[in-house]
Amino acid sequence: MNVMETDIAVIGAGPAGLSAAIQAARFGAKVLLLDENKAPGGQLFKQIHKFFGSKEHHAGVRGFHIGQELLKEVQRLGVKVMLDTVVYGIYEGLTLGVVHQGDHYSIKAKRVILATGGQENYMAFPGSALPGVMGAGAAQTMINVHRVLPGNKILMIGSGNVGLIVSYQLMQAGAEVAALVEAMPHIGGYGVHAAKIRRAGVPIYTSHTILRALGEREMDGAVIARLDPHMRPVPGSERELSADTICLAVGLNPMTELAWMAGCQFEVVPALGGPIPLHDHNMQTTMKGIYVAGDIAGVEEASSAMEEGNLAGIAAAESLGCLRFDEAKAQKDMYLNRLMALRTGPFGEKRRLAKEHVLESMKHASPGRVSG
Amino acid sequence: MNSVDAVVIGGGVIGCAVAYNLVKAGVSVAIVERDDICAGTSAACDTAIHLQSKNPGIHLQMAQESIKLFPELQKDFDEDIHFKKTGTMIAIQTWEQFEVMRVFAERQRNHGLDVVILDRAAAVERQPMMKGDVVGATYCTADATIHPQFLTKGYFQAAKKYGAKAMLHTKVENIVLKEGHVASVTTNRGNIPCKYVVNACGAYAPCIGKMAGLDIPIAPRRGQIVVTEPMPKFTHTIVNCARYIAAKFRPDLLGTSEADRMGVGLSLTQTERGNLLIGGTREFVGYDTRTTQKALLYILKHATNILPALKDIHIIRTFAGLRPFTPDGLPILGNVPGIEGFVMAAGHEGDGLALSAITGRLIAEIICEKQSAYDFDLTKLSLERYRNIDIKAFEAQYAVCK
Amino acid sequence: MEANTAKFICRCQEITEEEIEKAIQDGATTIKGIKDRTEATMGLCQGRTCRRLIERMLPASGELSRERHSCRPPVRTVKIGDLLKDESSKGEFE
Repeated sequence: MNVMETDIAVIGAGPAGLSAAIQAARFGAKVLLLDENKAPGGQLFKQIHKFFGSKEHHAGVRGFHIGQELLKEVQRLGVKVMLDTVVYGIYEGLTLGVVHQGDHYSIKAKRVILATGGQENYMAFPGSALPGVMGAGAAQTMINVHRVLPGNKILMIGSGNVGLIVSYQLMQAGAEVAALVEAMPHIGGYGVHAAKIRRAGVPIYTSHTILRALGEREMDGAVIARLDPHMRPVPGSERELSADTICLAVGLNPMTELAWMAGCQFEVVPALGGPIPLHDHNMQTTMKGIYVAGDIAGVEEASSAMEEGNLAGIAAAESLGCLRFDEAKAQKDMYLNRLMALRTGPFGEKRRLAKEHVLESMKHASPGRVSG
Repeated sequence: MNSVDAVVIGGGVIGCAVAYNLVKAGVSVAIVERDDICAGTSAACDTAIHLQSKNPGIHLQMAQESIKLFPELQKDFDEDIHFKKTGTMIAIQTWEQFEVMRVFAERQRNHGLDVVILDRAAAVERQPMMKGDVVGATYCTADATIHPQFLTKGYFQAAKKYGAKAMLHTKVENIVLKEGHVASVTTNRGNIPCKYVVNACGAYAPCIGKMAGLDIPIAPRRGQIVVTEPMPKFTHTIVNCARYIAAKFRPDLLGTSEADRMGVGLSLTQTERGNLLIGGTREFVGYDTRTTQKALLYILKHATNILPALKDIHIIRTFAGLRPFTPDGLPILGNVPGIEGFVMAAGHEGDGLALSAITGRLIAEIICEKQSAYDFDLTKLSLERYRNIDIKAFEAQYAVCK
Repeated sequence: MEANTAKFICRCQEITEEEIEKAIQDGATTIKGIKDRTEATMGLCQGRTCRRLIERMLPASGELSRERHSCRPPVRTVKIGDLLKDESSKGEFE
């Protein structure tokens, strides 16, 4: 077992982790960035569409390009990057158990930033274990990264941005989208994305759910039904559709195993995707020395992930004495303002309130140490 | 609250086994458990039901009687407990160990356990995966494996079927005595009048004992286990090593390295689904059930030294349990001096699954004041045998019961 | 059980919704209680896929049913040989 030391270990090289690494390294901290994938960028590396928003948020740039730009900056700053690396455990004294390309490392860090992101939600129904049923994110990786179609006729469950965007990308890749099914009475994602789907002639069934997938050894169809105002399937409204693939776009939840293992306190916040590790304005959790940023701290978007990463990077570096108090405050205030700006409008407002709730709960939590 | 004849405190394998036997014998029972069944050690075991690891004498005797009862239990349970005769091989790595194991095996044979000693060639022939650092092995066909949680669930569900009352998420606050008799048990959900209290709380038994004014020398002894991905049949028997036996009974024979001080010794079993459970340690760390990086390394290093093919297998989880340790390695069963109706059923250190069946039987015989069907010398298992122990020193040394 | 009729909650271990409901009737109120009665969450993904669904089936308590130690190392599968790579030739008991 190889023993290593670092000032700040950033776990996850998606938008949040890359941003955190950049900020911490800018101010002189020794930073180690780890990711289990062979390429950095997290969800960015499969995003082929152009981002919108402000210039700071890389408007007009395709997701995977943003990932590349961030990585270049990380490398320029001399951050040690370990890809294809599994952090299998976090032990007392902020010691990480790590396997990197077949070698075993024990890494002692002074600070840890968990930027592990989110994972897709699963939905269970009769037939959901048949080949052909997968997450929408998984389908997106298959088409955008591996250039392989998961199937030819897709039924998309969920009309949030992921469901809408992936449906469109599947069509661009040459598949037919049989329909989108949405449980709520209204479409979940941005109107601009929904319009593209509708223009292509794809039916969007709101107030509908999937009852079961059909098929013997692999799926070849599905049964959907309308939901009443109490979200119960209406008898007699069943409709059979032919499809060879079902994509589940039913939300993400934070990937929090390491935070649980380290003893961080949590609270369930449905608007943010599930149990969230409590944190303060510095993105520090109830375990001193452990910070969170990005989807792990609440499922939002790449832009907020980057800002939270910036915040956590500055705060962790500050705690090691790499910046003065006033310097750090100026930086952190800038990022906090940018986060405020992102959390506005009909979609952002809910998230803003949820995040404020997390900060409030953190005030009443009892801090601890990752110790013996 | 309604009264019952007996309150069994503790919903682990021992408590549920006792409740099952009592209720079948016509004793009305309430199981009072502060959390859920299997909340403690019973869900942190491997699958071994060992005879070969038992000390010749009453320990082995009890295990031999207990193992006979499982097929009958399976017939009375609605769900499969995965009881299977697999046998055990204990790998021997040095000639020094060989001599110690030879003597141990001989004593076991004198007590009716069919154990043979094999040289390396014979051992590897029977156990092709055991190609590592091994000079020989002892081998016994009588040992078995079982599913720890399903066994506990089996006793629990059958006990309820026969009329036992289950009070989960119920914390015992006090044991009320009247003139030297058990009168009732006070809980956070009310008072339960009863004639008998069975303390089946395993590593937590001393806490309950204190409520009745009793000093119980039971301490938590952590064992860490590593779980692999499921795979086809890897070994033909349970596999242990001589160090496992030494760590259990003769830690003085071990060295002073960190791994020795952690009591590292091999215990390898395979579940019905194919996962390998690779143990383990014996550590006095209080009630800490975390797993450590050091133990992970030592357990796996030791295991692969004996079974090299393990190197290509993936691990999916680690866990740890607190064995209830007693100074002489025997459980504390039966009546206690000075309090009528208070019955001990705890302290099975690492043998809880194997001895659950016989423990249930014996406690039922004691409470029903029936002539025992067995000829065990129960004074060897009584709390009374510890009347002269310095309990403060014991508690300080082993970090007991906060 | 046919793949096309069963509703599997835990895909790794093929535990159905029915089995989980039975465990709840037996007194399980937490993920651990379900786990000990059915083996759900004990598969390769260690509950990453099914935990949310099981939590929704449990009697609502408003409290998190997960204890710290339910998240154990390793959080991803790792090969035993990799963990032992570069181990010194010194024996573990020296």
